[in-house]
Amino acid sequence: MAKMLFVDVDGHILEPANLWLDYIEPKFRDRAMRVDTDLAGLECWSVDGKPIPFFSSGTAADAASIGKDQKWRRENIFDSHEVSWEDGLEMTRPAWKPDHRIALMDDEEIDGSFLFPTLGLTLSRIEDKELSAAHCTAYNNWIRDFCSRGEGRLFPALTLPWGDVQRAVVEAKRTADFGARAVQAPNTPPKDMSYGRLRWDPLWAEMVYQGLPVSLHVGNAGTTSGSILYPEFTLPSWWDLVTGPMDSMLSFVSFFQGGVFDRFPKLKVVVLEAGAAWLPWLLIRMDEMHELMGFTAESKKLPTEYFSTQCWVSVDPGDELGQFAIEQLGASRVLWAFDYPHSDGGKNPVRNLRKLLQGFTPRERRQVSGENAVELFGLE
Amino acid sequence: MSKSPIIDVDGHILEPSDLWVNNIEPEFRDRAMHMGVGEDGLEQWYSEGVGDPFLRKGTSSNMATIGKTTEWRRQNIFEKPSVTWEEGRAMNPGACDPDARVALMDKEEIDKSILYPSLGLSWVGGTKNPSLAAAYCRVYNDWLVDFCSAHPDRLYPAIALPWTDVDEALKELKRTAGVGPRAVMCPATPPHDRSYGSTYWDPLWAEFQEQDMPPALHVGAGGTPTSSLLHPEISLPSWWVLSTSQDIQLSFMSFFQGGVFDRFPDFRLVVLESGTLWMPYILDRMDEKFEILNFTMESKEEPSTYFKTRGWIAMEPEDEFGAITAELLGADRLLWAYDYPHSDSWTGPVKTLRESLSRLPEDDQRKVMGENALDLYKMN
Repeated sequence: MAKMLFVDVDGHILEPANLWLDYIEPKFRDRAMRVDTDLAGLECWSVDGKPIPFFSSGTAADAASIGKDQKWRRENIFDSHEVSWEDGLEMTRPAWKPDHRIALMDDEEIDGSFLFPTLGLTLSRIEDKELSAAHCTAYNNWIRDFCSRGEGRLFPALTLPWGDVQRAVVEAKRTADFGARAVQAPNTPPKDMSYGRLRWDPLWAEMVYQGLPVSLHVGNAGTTSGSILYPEFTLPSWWDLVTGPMDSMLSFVSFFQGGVFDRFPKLKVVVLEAGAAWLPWLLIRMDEMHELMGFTAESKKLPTEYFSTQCWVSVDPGDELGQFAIEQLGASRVLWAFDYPHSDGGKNPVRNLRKLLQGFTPRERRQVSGENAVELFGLE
Repeated sequence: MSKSPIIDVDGHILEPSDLWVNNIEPEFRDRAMHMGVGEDGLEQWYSEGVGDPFLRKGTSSNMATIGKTTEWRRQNIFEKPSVTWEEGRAMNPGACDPDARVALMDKEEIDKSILYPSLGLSWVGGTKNPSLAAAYCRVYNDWLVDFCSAHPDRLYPAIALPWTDVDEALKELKRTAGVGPRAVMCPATPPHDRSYGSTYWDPLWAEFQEQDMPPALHVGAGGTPTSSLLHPEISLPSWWVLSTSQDIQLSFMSFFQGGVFDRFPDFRLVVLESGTLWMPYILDRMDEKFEILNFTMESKEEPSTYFKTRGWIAMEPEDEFGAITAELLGADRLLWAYDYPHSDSWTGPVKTLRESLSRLPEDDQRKVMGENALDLYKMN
């Protein structure tokens, strides 16, 4: 029997405080993203002299709090702000030291990991497009260097300046030989410009040309659904985490509204970090509405037809509804993700995943644990 | 199966278009709602003296097209709008006349129906002037209560409240308290984008609790729809808006963010017309993030704890996930809805419903088909 491979399609790194200071083009160094202090004297990450909402007010280190309980996080991060970004890095060395990451993966029985950024998830929000692109370039160079020390088991997810399609295409072309197999797409598109719009087509064309799947991942570039009702929320918050998937769903559906899969039959889209149990519902609903009102959308076929060849979704190994989602969607459509070291990532992912996959055939188990990822991302 | 009631918790009527012109209080007569012709020469609903943003371009009668094919609707409603609102009403006597409705219910094996508006999906939450909104509601509610009184043990009104202002809404909720069992529609998107979790609404939730009657989240205008973030130019009816029913999910979650179930320990909530399978997913996600960040929201307990005794969700007869949802959440939590005569409903609902529920034990089937609704709405 073939050995089960375990490929984590969505892990994270934590950026060292001086990443951009070291890697950005010198003329932008003064404005580069860095660890800073806000007007209230609390630690924040800033760019171009302005605090970054999700990583400010002394709570940035929450991104490094995997394995800590709620009480600990509340006391040490939210109430007292005692844990600095540097302290957070010390707690989670595998998030920024390749050899530690490999050791962690050995412990956890993970064969390969895709590495997404943390602060880098905000780069498309930088208003100055040139500055945004320069930050992406610096980040991509850094993550390439990082993964090059990963024994062939670490795969960088590219970060593109989504605020400017032309610059995004230029950066995608520049990094074509970086060994990146994934690209992060913010789950809210910049300027609220639906991914179904023709303006994105040059980028989809480049993704198809390089065979790079587009991964919808939490990371706002535009307006979040949650902010309609609670515009004041910025901190890491329950509201933000429970409403995040609304944006992933909306962006996912917009590909069908805009007929993107018709124009690009080889484009592949992956939905990350939003759970999976909503998808069977949404697919059926889209199909049902296609039959009633399909003439008001661009897609020619039923949404499920595109899904069955062009889309994938990741489950969290601890997801109680994960088994149900795999049964409904079919094992060929499902990947899994660890989310290390973010606070909502669970521990012992492979053990949990084995448990989750117990009821499936050996072939289905191999598909979800690694074969789908190998095939989709073209891993060796 | 032994005789147990079959109760449709969400059917619709089609309002007479001259209802307000004929019945509104004199001081508001110059601003009575009415059907007119827009600048494009097509049928247009006028509310507060201006064209309604949804009921326009001659497509209002789409809500009267149960049983028509997509092709028929595309040609006759959308491409060459040629069916007026009153013609649409004439096609569906059951939506216009109580005797005809009961005859239809007899044919469809339905014992009891709760009747929601159609035009009201736009104006109930969308009317801006509070006193005018209240006047519109009084006309509508008096008419609907009278409509239902022809068959008091078969037809039940879903009252319209002037949601644009909490004091006016409270007044109308109290004014209609004596009409017997009734429901109340709660627009999917709250007016002024004021979250239902906000204490602004507390007087109203207190009154619902006092009257021991749950509001029902129903597709309907009020504030900013999530779908408008990505495609602001598209309004109803369209594939895009109908496929992304996240407004209801967002509003549903806001009750937990705001701790409404804690402040009002007997407050209950019904969720309509949005599918079912997302509910186990959302409850699971809300619980999971509660473990991590509950100190950033108001609820004291895991969200699913409240739902277990105080929340209900309605399935459509053809919902293939209805039975699974009943298994995951418990059959006590499920209701069903016909949605006659809207375009996304299908005739012969009870036969379809029986098939959809066939995998459940008979006791559970009876609960979903009517026993839950009978208790919940005190229809005995």
